[in-house]
Amino acid sequence: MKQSACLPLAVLAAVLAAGTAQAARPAGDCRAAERAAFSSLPMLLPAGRGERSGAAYCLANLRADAVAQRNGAGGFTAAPAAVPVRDGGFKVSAGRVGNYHWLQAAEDSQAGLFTASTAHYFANPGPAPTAMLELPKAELEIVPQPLPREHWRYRAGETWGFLLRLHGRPLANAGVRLETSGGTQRVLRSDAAGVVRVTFPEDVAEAGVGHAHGREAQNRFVLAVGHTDAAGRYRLSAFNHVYGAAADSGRSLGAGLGFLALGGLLALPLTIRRKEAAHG
Amino acid sequence: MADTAAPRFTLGRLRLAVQLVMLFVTVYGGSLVGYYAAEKLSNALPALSCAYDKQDGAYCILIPTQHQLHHRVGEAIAQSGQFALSTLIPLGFTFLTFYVFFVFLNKAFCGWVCPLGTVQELIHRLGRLLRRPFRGLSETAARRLRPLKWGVLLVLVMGLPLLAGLGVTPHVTGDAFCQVCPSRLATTLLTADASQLTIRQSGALDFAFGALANTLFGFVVVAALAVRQPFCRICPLLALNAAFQRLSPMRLVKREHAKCEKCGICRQACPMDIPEIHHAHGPKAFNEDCTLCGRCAEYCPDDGVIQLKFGPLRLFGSSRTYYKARVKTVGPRGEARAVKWFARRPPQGGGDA
Repeated sequence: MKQSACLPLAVLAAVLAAGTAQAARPAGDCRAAERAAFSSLPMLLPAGRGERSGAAYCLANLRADAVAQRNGAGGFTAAPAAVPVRDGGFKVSAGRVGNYHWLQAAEDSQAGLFTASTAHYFANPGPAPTAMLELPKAELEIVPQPLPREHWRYRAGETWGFLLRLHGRPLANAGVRLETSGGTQRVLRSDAAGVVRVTFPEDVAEAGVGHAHGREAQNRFVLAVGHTDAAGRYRLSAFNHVYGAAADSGRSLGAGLGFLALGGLLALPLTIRRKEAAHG
Repeated sequence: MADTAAPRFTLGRLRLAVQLVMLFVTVYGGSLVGYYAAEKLSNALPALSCAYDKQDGAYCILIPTQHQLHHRVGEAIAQSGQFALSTLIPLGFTFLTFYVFFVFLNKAFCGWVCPLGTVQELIHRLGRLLRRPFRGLSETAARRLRPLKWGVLLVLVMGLPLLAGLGVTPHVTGDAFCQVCPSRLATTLLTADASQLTIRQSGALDFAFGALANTLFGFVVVAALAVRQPFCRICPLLALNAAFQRLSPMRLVKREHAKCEKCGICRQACPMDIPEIHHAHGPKAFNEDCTLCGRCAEYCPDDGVIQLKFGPLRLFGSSRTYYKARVKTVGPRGEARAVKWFARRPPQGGGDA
């Protein structure tokens, strides 16, 4: 895996600076969060805003004793940390190293194997999540291709790929359900390579759209795929995350072009030849 | 008799080739190095490689500098009510990362690597082709503009992000320089992404930043047809690089020569119109505005007066023979003469007088 040449320095910096870490907030009332959930599909839903040092989550439509957390520290192939679930919720710590954290919970019952996954980004130094995404983490899974990188996000109107994998191999021509907190429900289908292309719906309220680093309006989505094997074993895997308003929402291209033209006009005299002064 | 046929390989052509390669790496290099921040060549490159460009191959140091002053230093002080040295550790490591790169090339990152520098230079070449007038800066103007880049560094890159973290100024000022940086617009447009041209209408300050950014970008693009490197004159990264320029073995060296005061071709060739390269020698000639492009050395008509050196190693030195050949194709101000990419050597016994 490729990494920044200076990653070790950044990791060392984080380790030295980690003394200021704060405890994550409690999960809050996860049963109420589950009742208010926008979908009946299995999800890991944030409880509160999340902090630099940690974040709280609730399980929705899924029962599990622990959540697997992978953060890339020590390599993604290392066994994931088991985060205990209490009162339907759990808290993940940012730790000192690892920026993309993969969170996954599973419920194995007579009805089948149900898996819920999400990804959480902490502002830590750490490896790219490429290896984490390539690593099979469940029998049936939905793998973002890629995850939005730091300071970016899924946005309404944009199309992103998600790979469906069954036992580590692409799952072609499978139906995928998309549900959003904006009320959109769609069924999509994976291609021959097992990739489903999701165009996020324009259902994010414009109110609150602000600076890129501020608290923008956002919706949550969940993608789910089900599969029954030859032995009659049913599996359902769901991945949930957030997406923001369209990149041009609350923005004006006309004003942008107008000021661009203004700048050009201000510089125009520099590019015009003056007549040579007449010599006396 | 000296052979003054136009040389096939000049420092200028080598620099153009490096600039084009680095333009590709910094603007589209994500396809080579990877998509995520951790896969970039560096997250603290001493050149304006913009993170708003989703296909970039590296990030500019001004990005983590602003973020760390905003989110680490400012917010930590605001929460604890006091300054702790530990809050500066991430910033210190960012600068250490920067220095690991900088120590090898020094300000050649400006003259050879920076994508915005290359874009401005290509536009200026277009201006020559379109026969637009050449507007060099007077010695007074060049000197008067100099403090601006330090002001931009202190206010937009350091001051406002820190104040945003402290809660004094609005959140939008947390990356104040990125909000107005022309490289954000140039590099994203080069990837066919026009989203950065749009202006946010959610608040007066958001709108003001967008309006300023677009006006500045429009000015730089058109001005570059006549003026060399218009944005570099106020670039905060040039100021930051200037603060470290004596801490690298890579440097520009000029020795005193009797003809210098009457000549001044080096200043004509300098894209930053630096007066000191004409009038001074020794360390003063390696001015804070220098981008180590090497044009002064190329166009100095005397042997060994101006040199690019790495430690004791001479990388390039001025030479009368080279100068005479060089001016045959391109004048010191970039005015194209007869273009001969594959110059023929004069016949045996021939040559110029």
